[in-house]
Amino acid sequence: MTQPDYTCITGGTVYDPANGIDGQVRDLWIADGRIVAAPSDRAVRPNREIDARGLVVMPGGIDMHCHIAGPKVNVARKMRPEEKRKAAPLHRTELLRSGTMGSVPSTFATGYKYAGLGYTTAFDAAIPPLGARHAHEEFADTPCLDKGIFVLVGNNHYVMQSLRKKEPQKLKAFLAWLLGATKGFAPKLVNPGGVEVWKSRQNGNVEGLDSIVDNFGITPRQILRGVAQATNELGLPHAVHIHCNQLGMPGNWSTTLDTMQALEGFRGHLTHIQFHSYGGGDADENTFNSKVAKLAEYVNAHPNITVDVGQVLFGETTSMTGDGPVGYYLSKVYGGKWFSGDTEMEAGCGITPIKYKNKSLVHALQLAIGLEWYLLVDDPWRVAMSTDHPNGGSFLAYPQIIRLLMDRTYRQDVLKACPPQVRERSTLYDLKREYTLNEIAIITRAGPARMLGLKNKGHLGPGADADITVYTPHDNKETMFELPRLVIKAGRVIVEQGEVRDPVDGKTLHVTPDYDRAIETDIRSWFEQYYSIGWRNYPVDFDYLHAAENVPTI
Amino acid sequence: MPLKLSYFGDTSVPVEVEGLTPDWACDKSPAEIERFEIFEGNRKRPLAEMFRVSGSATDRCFEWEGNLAGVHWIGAGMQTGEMHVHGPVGRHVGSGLRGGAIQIHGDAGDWAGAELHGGLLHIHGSAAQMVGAAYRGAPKGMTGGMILVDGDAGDEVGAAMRRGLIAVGGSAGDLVGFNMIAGTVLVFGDCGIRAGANMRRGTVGLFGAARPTLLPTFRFATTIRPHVVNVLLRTVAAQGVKFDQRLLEEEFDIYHGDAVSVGRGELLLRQVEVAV
Amino acid sequence: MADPSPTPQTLKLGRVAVVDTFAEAFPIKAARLIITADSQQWADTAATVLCGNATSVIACDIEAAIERKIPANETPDGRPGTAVLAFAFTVDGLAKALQNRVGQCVLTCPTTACYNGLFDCPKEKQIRIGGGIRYFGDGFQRSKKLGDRRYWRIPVMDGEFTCEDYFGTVTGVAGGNLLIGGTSGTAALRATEAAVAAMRSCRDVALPFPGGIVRSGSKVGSKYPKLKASTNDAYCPTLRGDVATELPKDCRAVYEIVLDGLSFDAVQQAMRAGLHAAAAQPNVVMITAGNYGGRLGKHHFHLRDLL
Repeated sequence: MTQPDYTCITGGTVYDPANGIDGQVRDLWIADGRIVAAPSDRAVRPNREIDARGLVVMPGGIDMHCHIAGPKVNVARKMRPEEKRKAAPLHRTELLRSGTMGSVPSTFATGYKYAGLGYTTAFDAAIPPLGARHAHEEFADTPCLDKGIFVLVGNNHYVMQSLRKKEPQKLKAFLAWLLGATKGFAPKLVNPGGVEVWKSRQNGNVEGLDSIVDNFGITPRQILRGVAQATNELGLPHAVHIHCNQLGMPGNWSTTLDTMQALEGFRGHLTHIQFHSYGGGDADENTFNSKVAKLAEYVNAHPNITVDVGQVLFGETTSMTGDGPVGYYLSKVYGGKWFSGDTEMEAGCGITPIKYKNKSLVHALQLAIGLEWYLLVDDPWRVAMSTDHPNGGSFLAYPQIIRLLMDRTYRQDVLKACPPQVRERSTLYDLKREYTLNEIAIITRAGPARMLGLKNKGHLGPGADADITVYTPHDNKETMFELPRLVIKAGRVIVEQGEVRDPVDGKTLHVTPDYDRAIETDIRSWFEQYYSIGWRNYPVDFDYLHAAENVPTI
Repeated sequence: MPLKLSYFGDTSVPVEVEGLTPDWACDKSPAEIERFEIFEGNRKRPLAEMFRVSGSATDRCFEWEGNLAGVHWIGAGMQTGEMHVHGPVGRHVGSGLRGGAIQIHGDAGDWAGAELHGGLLHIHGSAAQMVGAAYRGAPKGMTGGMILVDGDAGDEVGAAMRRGLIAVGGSAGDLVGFNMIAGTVLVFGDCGIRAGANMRRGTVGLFGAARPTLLPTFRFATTIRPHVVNVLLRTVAAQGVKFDQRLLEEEFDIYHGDAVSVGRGELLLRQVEVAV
Repeated sequence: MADPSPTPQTLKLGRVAVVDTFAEAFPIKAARLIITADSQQWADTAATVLCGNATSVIACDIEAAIERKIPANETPDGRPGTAVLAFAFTVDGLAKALQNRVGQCVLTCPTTACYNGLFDCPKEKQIRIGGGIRYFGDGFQRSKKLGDRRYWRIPVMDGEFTCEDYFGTVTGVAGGNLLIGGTSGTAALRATEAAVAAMRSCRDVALPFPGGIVRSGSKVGSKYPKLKASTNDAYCPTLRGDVATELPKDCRAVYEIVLDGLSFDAVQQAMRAGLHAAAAQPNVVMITAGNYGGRLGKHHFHLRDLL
């Protein structure tokens, strides 16, 4: 019997929170793209040995909420020629394709840059089902990452129709069918019901969970409950992923709290929660303040809820969201160019450039509110790092966030450049907590993997995908995390000291839950009545996916 | 003593010399300057393969000569120093200029002085499209400095301008001051249609003999001589731009607009049809 | 026998005795305004009214006077102009006073515009004039920026009042002076008028008192505790018998010229021109200058240096 082709990473200081390893010096054995137990026969030598003595070893990073592929991301790329003109281009080499940067990098550049930071998995958070094919095609050109998509269902006509007709079985079957047809990973709610109202009338939106949605006569609360329940019954690995109503509006914290309560114990993930934590009222920015303390208190007491932060950082970026009215609102406030999309039957989107300024009280508060979330949620397993790239800032800023969390002095320095009223309107100045490396490993790796239900990711135990990042320790944690020493994907070294050496293609993670096939007839008849494309042209088949892994239901 | 750059290239693809500025060159040896990489099409070549280089860059003065109509980005991003170009130049001359002065003794291609931030660009011949304009997609264009064109210019002079002064001694094309945010554009010759379209604030002087047709969203205010026009005209005259001296005494018809935008801009027209 | 009351030496300029003393002057902040109008007459009117009640910082908010007329082709907008120099002890005081005066006296005057006349001043030493007045435009004002200079255009009933946003300041000299005594009031006045004319042909100086002349020269202090200054009794002819007088026997009247300028050299040159002009007039018996013993003002203009 031939010996497996072993690689061993020796002597590294390992952070594997999922397996209780907090900075222990250990060896890691890899074979066939997975982490394996050390061979019982001590005489066995690995074919490749990587000396990691003095280096920090973690699972590869997981970005569980970003916007990196699909129709709206591509429109945003086209909308930012002035950024792309000024950013340093990625030149084509023997090994690497060319690319452009700015706040919305092109596909190949996205893969290379994420890998350059030690990230090996990323999920695009908002794809309209009709755009799934487009997203997968872009994913085929996004190397180095395992990836997946969350599919927009919160303003889907069949979903809302099923709720109106009180047919939860149809809703459940539809979600399952849809995830299979789109090769998606999880259902996504974006301003449930609100985007439908926006598409139906001028300046339309919903105010709260009990507003009535035009054309269907149902409420956002019903959409939330219906999809949460269906997600649960289908045993989907990731909870329903929720972008609450009223994003960005002063006083929206109460809608966020309502949403958490409306889950009534079902698993739910509230995304970019920073944008949903605002006190104040009547859209009056003069009263804008932080309500993180109250919301975090609820999250701490309710283990069914997980969040990712959606950190805002100062600088120029592009906002892009399935929440159509938000794009319009921001473009009115800032006077920027604006794109609005209406995806038939399914969703909407809004895109506009945005510049977060340290001199703006509102922006400085947004930055503070994001940091408060990390520091006030007690259990790091239930709060994931994100910037909602690129909405709050680029993923390239993750190392800066890590430094802000681990170094209170740096945090204070950044706050000093902000308007003094931030001190009164948020609690950030008083928060002394500093994150440990172990906690960073949780919020950027182990926690997202657990939240997503990915058993083979985010940890370094036997059976895990061999996605590993090796860092050179540094007192300045931003420096440490922005240039990994090595990045390993499926057991292969893909990045070495910032240089991409082996741009492997990753796999697409998707789910195919079972459903009652009989209901397909109903879905099909609805589809053929309203859609502008043919039924057989809608589902994405496996040809579009370079490699795929079907993640089993629970 | 200036740095002399004599063009002897003979090619049908664009040559781009972006980055070759007095700021960069002032502390480089002649050999280093000769090795400066320029683009011929998509290929990089050393400067000396297309230009004869002589003199010294320590005084931050460049003299270019030759038929440079196919050489682009001359003086782009320059911060200090002087450039004199003896011959026609290509596109993007003085793009993003921050300081110093560029004198073109010839015609210029499109995008002359695009997104200028400071300094002086004086084209003694004619310019083409997009003089002092914002590049596509940019929220604002020129933010300071002065662009003077002795001859004619094309369309969209000063598009999305934020601040600064552009003066065209000859005629201009359509959409003078298109999407202007603020600043001043003076056209001493005739102009095309839709001057000032979507302007927020700022001043556009249309001083040609033929009175232009204005967009209906511009409203007549009064006939008057704003004193600041004297200041503007004297500034332009001091740089050697020639214009009808009667302009120094006339009153102008002032139109406010563009009403579809903020509408605090003004168009200045000569009061009567003036014989050329 | 030693002279019981030692007097300063006298010098001679022609037949005129010039006391070998010095004028004591002070640093002061200065600005120059260039007021233009459709005619020289209207520019002069605005300037004259702006300089009203601006003779001495003892009781006025500034000292100000016309420096010279400026020909049309030398002004920023090519119209006839008048240059005014204004002086105050602090930059803030200068700014506040000038904002008021330009707003009340130039903005209000037909066809005028107002431009800065002092350049190369660092931003932190500049004073804001147009920028303070612009609100009179009630939101309809516009700005025009050319290079580093911003002009405010304030809509008014005859068109626009154009006023530059920021004006430069410089540390100049206040209180250069000459005292001219004659055998009669008429002789003294004629000689002083000649000196004033000569000084006014110099650049960078201005004479803030009426016609450039002070008839009521003062000394520091008074028998009245609240009075900061009082009549300079040593030079008052009617008090010759009652006080220790500085007046020569044949001197029956004295007039004083006070001048401010942008620099020591400018004041000195003007004083020299004035001194020579006065000394050339008939029936001048004394020329001297006022000081505080040299203890208060940092600038000393020795008359011996002007001969």
